[in-house]
Amino acid sequence: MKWFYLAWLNLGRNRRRTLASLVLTAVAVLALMSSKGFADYTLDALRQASIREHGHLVISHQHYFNQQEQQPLEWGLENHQQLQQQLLAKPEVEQVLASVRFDGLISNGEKSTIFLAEGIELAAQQLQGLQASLRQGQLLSQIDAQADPQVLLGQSLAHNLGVEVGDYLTLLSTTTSGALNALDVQLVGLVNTGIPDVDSRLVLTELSAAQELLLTDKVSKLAVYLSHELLQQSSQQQWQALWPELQIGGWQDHAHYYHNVAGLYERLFGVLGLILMMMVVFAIFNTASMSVMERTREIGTLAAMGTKKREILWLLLLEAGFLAALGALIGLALAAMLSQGLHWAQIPMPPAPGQSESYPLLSHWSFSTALETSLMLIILAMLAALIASWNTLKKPIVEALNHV
Amino acid sequence: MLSLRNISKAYQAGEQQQQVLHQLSLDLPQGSFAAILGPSGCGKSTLLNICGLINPADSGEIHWQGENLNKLSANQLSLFRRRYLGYVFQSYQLIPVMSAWDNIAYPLMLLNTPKALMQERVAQVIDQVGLTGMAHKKPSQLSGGQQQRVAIARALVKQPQLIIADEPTANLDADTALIVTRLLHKLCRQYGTTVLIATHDPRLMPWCDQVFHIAQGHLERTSKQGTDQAQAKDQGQGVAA
Repeated sequence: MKWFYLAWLNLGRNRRRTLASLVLTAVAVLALMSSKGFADYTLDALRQASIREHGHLVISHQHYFNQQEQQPLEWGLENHQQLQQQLLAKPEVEQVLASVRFDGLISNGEKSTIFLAEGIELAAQQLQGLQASLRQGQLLSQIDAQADPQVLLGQSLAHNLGVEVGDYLTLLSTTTSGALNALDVQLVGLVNTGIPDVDSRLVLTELSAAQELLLTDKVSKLAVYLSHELLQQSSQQQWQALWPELQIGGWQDHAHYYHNVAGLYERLFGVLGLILMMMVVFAIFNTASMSVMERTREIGTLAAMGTKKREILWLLLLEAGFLAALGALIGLALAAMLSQGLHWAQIPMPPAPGQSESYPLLSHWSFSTALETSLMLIILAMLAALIASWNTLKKPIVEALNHV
Repeated sequence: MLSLRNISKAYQAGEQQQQVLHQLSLDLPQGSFAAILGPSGCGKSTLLNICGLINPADSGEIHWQGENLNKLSANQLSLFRRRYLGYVFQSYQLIPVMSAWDNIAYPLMLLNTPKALMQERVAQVIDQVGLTGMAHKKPSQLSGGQQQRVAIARALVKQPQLIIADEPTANLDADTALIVTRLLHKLCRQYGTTVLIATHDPRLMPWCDQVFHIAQGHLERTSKQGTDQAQAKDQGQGVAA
C-alpha cells in the first residue's frame, strides 16, 4: 500500500506535466476506443447480415460449392423437405429455409437481359430482413395457384428494363435436363441491396416458382437458423457426422464480403492503434525520463535510507501505471460519451466502396475492448518507465546523491 | 561498535588517481558522538559514505558489532541500512511531495511498522524535535532549520544504532545550528545511538566524545572534547527552537 500511496503523491509533483500526459493518453484511448468501436459496430452489422442471409449453417450437396455444375442444380439437394423436417425436429434449430439459385434471361417483351435469381421461401423475407431492402411495391406473398408467380427486382435491373411495379415479365432459363423453359411473372416490388452490380442483375422469386421454371424438386441449399450462435460449431460437427454425404458449412464460409472488410479493418485500425500506442508510450517515456532525471538525488536518498533498487523501480513503474490508468479512465469515459452522442445524432456515412447505401456512423463501447486497451496501455507505460529509469537506478547511491 | 580496518579509497580525477583515504582505521564505541574534521575535499564525506554503506571502499574491512559487512550483498546492505542506519544530509534531502509527517514516517514504512506504533513514534519524535503543529506541512513550507529538524527526526524515528550526519549544520545560521546540534546530541544520548558527523563547523566540537581529523588520507584522533562540559551547559535548556 505504501508504494501505491507514494506513487499517487508523486503524480502531483509536476501537475502541468502530469496533466499533459493525462490528456494525451485520454485522447489516444478515445481514438483507439472510437475507431475500434466503429470497426466492431460495422463488423457486427455485417456479421448479423451474413447470418441473416446464409443462416448459421449452410447445408448443401458436397459438390455444390466446389464443383462446376454442367446442368442447373446438378449438385442440388434432393428430398430437402424430409431433411428440413429432421432438422426442425432438433431443439436447437429455429428455422430451416430452402433456396434455389439460378440464372437466365429476363424480358419485358421488347428487351432482354441477364439475371441472377434466387428462389426463396416466403418466410425468408422476414427472417433474412435487409439482405435487400424494399424500395417500392411489396414483398412476395402467397398467391392463388392460377395467378402468375411474383418477382422482386433490383432497382437497377427494373430501370434497365423500363418496368414498374405491376408490370409482367418473362423469365427464361435452362431446366435441370438442359431444355429451355419460360415463366411469366409479375413484378411486385423493387429492392436495393446496396451493391450496384448485384442490383443490376437481381431477381427474387418464390421457391416453388423457381422449381417450376427449372422443372425440379431440388434446392440449391438449406439455410439453418439456430437458437444461439454458440451452438453452431457443435451442431456442425454432429450433423456432419450424421450426414457425411452432405456439406455442412458455417456462415463464415460464405461471407466473403465480411472477411474482406474484417481484413481491411484489421490492418487499418491495427496500424492506427500501433501509432496511437507509440505516441502514448513516447509521452509517458518522456514524462518518466524527466521525472526520474529530476529526482535522481531523491532516488539516491531513498536508496541510502535502505529502499531496495527494485522497490524504487516498482515505485516508478507504479507512477507510470497510475498515469496510464488515469488517462485510460478519462479516455474511456469520453469514448462512452462519444458513442452515446453518435447514437443520438445518427450521422450518415458515405457509402462504402462498391455500395450505394449510406450507413450510420456508430461506435460500440465494449467492455472487453476497454479492458484490453487499458491493460495494454498500462503495461506499455510501465515498460516505458522501466526503460526511462534504468540508467538512473544503475547509478551508485553516492553518484545519485551528488547529482546536480 | 563500528570498526574500520585499513580502509583505502581513491578517485579517478582525469588521468590521475587521487588517493582520498589511505589505510585508515577507526573504532567507534556504541553510543559515542564523534566528529570528523578536515578541509573541503579531504575525504570526510567519503569516509562517512563508507561508514554509511553507500560507497564501498577499494580495500579494507568494515565491521559492525563484530560482523564483517564487506560480505553483504547489495540487497543485504539495503536491509542493513534500513534497519540500523539513519542519515542526516547536509541539504536535508526531504521528499518534496511528502508532508513532514510522511517524510519522518518513511523509514518506519520501510520496516513495515504497525500503523499504531508508527503514529506513536512519529508523534513522539515530532514533539522531541519541536515540530508539533507542523507535521502536515510540505518541506517547501518549512524553514531551513525546520527542514533539518525533520531530517533529524527522520533519522531518529526508527531508533537506529548508527546515525551518519554529513555537515548537518552547514546550511544553518548560528542559532539554528546550535539548536540542531543540541537536539541531535540529546536524542542520541536518549536512544544510545552512535553518531558520526562530518563537519568543519567548530561549534560542534564541544559536543563530541571523539574528534578525528583527516589529513592526506590519514585519520588522527585529536582529542576527547569537552562533551561533559557541553552537556552540563545544556542542562535545563531543552531543545526547543
